[in-house]
Amino acid sequence: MRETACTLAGLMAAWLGFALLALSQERHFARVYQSNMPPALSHRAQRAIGFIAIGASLVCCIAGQGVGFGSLLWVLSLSATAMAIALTLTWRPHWLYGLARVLRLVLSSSSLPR
Amino acid sequence: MNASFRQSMGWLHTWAGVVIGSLLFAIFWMGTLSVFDREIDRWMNPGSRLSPAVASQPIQLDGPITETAMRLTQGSAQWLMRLPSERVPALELRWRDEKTKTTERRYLHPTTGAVLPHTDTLAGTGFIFPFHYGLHLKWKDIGYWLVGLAGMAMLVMVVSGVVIHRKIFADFFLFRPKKHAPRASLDLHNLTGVLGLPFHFVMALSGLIIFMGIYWPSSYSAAYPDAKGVSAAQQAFNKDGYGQYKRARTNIAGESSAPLASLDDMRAQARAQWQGAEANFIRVWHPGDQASYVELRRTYADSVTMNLDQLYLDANSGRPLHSFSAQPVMTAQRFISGLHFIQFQHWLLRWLYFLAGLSGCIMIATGFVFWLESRRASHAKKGLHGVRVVEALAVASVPGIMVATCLFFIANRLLPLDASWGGYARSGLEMGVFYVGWLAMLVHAAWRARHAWREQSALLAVLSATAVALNWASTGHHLIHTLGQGLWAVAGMDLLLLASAAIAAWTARHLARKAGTASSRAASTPRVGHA
Repeated sequence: MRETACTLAGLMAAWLGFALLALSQERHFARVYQSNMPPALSHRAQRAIGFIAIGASLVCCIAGQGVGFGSLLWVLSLSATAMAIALTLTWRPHWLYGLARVLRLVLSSSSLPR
Repeated sequence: MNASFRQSMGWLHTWAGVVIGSLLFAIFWMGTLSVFDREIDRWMNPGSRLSPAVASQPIQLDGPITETAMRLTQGSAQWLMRLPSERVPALELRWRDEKTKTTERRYLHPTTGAVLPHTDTLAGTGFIFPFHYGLHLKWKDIGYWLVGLAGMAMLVMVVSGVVIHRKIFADFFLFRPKKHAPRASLDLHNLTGVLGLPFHFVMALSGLIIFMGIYWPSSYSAAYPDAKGVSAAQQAFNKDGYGQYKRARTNIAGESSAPLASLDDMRAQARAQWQGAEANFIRVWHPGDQASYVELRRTYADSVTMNLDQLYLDANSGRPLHSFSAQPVMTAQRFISGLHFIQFQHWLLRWLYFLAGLSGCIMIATGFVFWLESRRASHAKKGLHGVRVVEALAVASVPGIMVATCLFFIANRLLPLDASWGGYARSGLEMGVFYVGWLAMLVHAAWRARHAWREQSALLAVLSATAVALNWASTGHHLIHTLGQGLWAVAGMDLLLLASAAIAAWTARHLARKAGTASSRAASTPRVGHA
């Protein structure tokens, strides 16, 4: 149970990390936020959180699967989740709009720089 | 970066890719299928399709199983029994037939010891997996050397590809399928290449490391300068590194009335040494001889590192003779091997390997498409034949090998059990169908040029679906049955064949439409500039 939860958390953290990295790029940002909605975070803050999430993913994978399987799973899931984000941006960019709204809600009260 | 350096790397990447791409695709394709080699074995050898529930029951080797094994392997210098696992629910028995000089394989029922109905096929572990690392070219080890060359070329292309990619991070997630063909194919080539880069690099490098002894035979002599000759040095290395233990036969029959001490007791001794881990296989050397001994190897199921834990016992008395655990430096080598061989039990990782392998196939295929599409117009104008030649090779090596693989599966379901022709046994005929089919695809590609992509895709769609239908017709195992019974190997293979049929059909339709619009556009407006 704990193993499955940690592994799932690891995969989701990697996915979230790559989503944030993608949205920190003007080209993808513009495709997802079709209105002129300003970003919830500065691109740089988004990128920083993205990298932190990808790092956290390694911790979760190792916690769930041990060092050997966990690190291997991390490397392979980075390729898989980054590919998933790339294909989502190609064919279904609006799916990531929901993520943007959640981010906005979570961060609306915070004082992080825009 | 220096522009001329980037240019020269671009030249290297392009021409290494064009020359070696066909070979590399074959290796990637067979390697990707090898991820599920044992599942392919189940599909191609229906007698061994036992429900996974059978494998999870405790197994007793003494009694019917050992008796059957000794009866079948009579006269052989050694035989091997692989214990059932989640992937292979049946007990696998292998021995070398001294008369025919071939390795025989049978599956036994893990509780009754009954010999399961056998289909003579090399299937996944005998044909597809060895193709991946040796191309089935045995003469002077040329297959290994070609695969090694391809592995080196892969490393060169990974590095040169990174050098020539101008905007790795800006284009990290970028794919624009609606742009013109050269752009769209280059996007997909970059996407699969960059995102799969760790996988491609590690697979190419670990593949070379695994066959280190073939590519650098002098490394043995360097490590053992006192040994006389390379083979003596290699034996010394195998003893120290891999813990290989040997005892010569005496040619005197064993004294004990029972020909073999209890294998179950030996397994228990091994488990006690290996923190409760089960044996992967049990091998009996020189059966019936006074010096007969039993080798037990620990399972690889529970970690990435392929451990070298072994236990050798006297076959007549059951007394331990020798036990071995790898030194740390060998453990590092075995971790690298384990990364490549994926002998561990982990379904999520296994599927991720499969997907990463497929993305490697897409990378090579789109590399070809980019080369072709960006030169097609200019070559036509200048009257060059390069596009024609490379296109024939690309079609034969991408959809062509997939069609040939499907024909291999179909032949397996259609050939009668006792088929033989021209001195070839059934398993040889299956291989023959693969090679003849592949050659036919090459001829077709050379004849039909650009249309061959579409026509072979359509053929692949039909053949994939046919393979599923034939599996149903010949065994009665349709998807509802296999899913209901938990025969995941068979169900998974059928589902992947159906998926490949769907994707191939979509591709054929897409290409037909594009050809339609292109020809109507060409008819209405004179083409100007680049296409």
